[in-house]
Amino acid sequence: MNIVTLSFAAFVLVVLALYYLLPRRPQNILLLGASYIFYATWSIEFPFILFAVTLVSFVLAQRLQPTETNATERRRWLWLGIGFNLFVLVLFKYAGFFVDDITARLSSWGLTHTEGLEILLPIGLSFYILQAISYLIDVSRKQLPASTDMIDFALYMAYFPKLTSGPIERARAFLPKLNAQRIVDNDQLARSFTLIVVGVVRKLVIADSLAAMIPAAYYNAPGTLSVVNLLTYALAYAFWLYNDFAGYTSVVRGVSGLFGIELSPNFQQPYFARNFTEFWNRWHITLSQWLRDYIYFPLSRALIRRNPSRWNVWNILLPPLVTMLLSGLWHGTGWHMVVWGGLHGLYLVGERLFGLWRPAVAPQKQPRWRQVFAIGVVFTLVVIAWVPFSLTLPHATEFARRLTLDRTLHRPSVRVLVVIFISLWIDWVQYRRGGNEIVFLRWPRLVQATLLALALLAIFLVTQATISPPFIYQGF
Amino acid sequence: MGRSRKPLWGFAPPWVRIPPSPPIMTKSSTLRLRFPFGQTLLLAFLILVLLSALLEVAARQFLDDYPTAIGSANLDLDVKIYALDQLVAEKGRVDCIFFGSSVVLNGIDPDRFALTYREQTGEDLICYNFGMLALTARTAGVLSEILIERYHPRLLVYGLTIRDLAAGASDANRIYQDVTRTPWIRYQRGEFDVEGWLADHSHAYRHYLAYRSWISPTFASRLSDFTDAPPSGYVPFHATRALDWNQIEAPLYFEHFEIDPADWQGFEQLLATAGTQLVLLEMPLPSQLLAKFSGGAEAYAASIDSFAAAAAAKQVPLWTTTHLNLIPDEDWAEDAHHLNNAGAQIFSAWLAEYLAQAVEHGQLRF
Repeated sequence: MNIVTLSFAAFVLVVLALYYLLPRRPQNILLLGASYIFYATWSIEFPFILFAVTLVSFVLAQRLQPTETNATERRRWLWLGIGFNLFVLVLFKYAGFFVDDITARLSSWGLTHTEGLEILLPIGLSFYILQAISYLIDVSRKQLPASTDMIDFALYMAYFPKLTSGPIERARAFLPKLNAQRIVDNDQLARSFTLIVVGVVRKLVIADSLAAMIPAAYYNAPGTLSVVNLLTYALAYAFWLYNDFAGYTSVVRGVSGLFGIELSPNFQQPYFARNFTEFWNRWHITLSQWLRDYIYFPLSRALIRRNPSRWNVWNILLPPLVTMLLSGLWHGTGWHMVVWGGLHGLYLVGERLFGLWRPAVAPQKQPRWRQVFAIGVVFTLVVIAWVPFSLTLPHATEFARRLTLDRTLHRPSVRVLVVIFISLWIDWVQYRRGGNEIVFLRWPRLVQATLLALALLAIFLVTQATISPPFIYQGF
Repeated sequence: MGRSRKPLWGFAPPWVRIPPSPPIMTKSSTLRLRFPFGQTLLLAFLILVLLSALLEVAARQFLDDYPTAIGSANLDLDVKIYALDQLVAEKGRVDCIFFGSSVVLNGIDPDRFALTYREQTGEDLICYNFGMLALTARTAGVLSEILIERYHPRLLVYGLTIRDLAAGASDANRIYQDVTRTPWIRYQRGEFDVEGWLADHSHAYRHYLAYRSWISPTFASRLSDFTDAPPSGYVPFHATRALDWNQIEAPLYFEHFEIDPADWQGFEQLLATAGTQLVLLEMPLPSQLLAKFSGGAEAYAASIDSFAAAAAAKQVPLWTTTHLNLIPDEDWAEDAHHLNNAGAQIFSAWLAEYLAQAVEHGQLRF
């Protein structure tokens, strides 16, 4: 059940109607049931995998309590829990690699009936596995007690607005919300509705339009396109990806707000970032924070313990590179994802090296022209990195070669630029107010209503124009 | 007063302080809306209605020269309806519609037909070629009702070959799905559909539908399908190569012909068409191709005869043509299934003459 469909809207309305009638504890039970039903609409097998991951993580977390076992044993239980979760992730997400290889080998031996080997990637698996791992680590670090309530913990793992593509919530922030007073008043309703409308506009009007405007040749034969078109479509891809995921996040945060449960923001106008550290604090924020807390910082701390010098080369190189390479692999298998992660790792290393001989000045304290220049540089390098993210390595190479060979000039597609302009306008409005996503609520009612009317008209017209592709991040 | 005391009876005296009960299983107070709410939403709907009205007025006033569409997944259907609407708007009526698959699209030139008919009878006819790629009888049954109801032609000529009813004809079901899923078609068939209603009543919406592929990389070519649509609907096939029988393969349904029940149902629906004179017309095929039919040309003719018998039962004439050998060898398209432009001119002229004779002899009320 895709979240920008009328069936999802009907599903949410039914759940909401029941939810508002119930006290808090039954509300959680209702949300848990609804989440599993929602998940089963994707595939009937998926809830079983989710339940297995939930149950194992819940039980193992009990063993991580300081009162239960000694430190060595706790470490053992922790690694067992992390290992189990990683095993599930590798089995379902990366097994395609091995299955393809095994299938090819078997068919070369004449065995062609290999259908049973196919493994379906459960939607959202990459997201809830990270939640389970963070929960186990946080319990072992004594940052939160192991949950004693299976219902609440299962809801933390399965809560349907965030199930398929995040945000990746932390148990220590999310679990208390399940026991806190939830209020949906006029203000909350307006916030939620605004988030939903902005999200749907981002997804349907901007992301889906841009997706449709990129021809298949961009992915399959970039060498056949002119430089102007290649650059235009690379831009289109950058804004498609961003609006697709930011739109999704906005919608699910709005929906969750209707239940009185606030989800973490995931995007904050990332293409206005003035350095790469800032970019990763604005792009897929919950994943960035997860990688920072569970990979970057531990690795950096371990390296600093060995050599506390600020010129420790390993500490300059390894944490960003390892973190971003793992981020690349989390997004997908294939060397092109490694290249994407490697590029971002190098960007961060470059930034750290730059900071060693030139004292860092907070971006907002720099002169305006330098801020604008920095935004341009960061954006350009990010778009360059999206090329191997979106294309296979041979096609990315073909793309790069074409840039040097083709000399034809023509006008870029105006349609692409118009849609990108809408995206930039929304970002700019929010950015000016410190990243406030619901800044529109501060505007006069007539302006709000006019914008809403235009948004509704645009959504209707765009849905008449295209078939909706699924959210990109559901594939990760 | 320091200690609170739970009253033993149903109410407590005013000096007894009752501690609040723990919030277990208390009734939810999650939803705390205050009236009024939703004014912005209401205002937005009012603005939307106003905006839509303005767009509608603008479309009716200023966009007459721009294409419209009904919003079908089948672009052929969109373009055909648009061009036919244009013809009716310009001429005031359409007298005859030639309907069928690509063999009709490439095989009958309405202008040539009208010219010959005028030479024969002195009467001016306004005709349109509604040939659609890959159409078969199942889709024809649906569309024929709509064509008659919308355009009221005096004559509907359905050009058929055996493919129209053959099981396994390529794309038959896809076309059917594309056509019957079209909201405007559903609305025309009596099923209420908001998009269908809009496509039928709103000029602004119909104009937008013609431009709805604005997000597609092929937008320019799709739009040119509308702007370059031939006014008569006829698309000539200019053959560049002579027939090469070594290259031509018979379709699969020639090897084992079976009637598809869905197409037969559509055929019966077509025969039941009321309100206009319907004529079934066998579209010619080269004799060498018919020889490849399972059982040969005689078996092919027998199949056509069986369709003719079914048609006759409903008082619908079926005019057979293959046995007349009207088309010379060089006047076929390279695939041997379609006529080229020269063949279409011959066939269209013959059809006009035949119709004129049929009318003159009272075989057809037209």
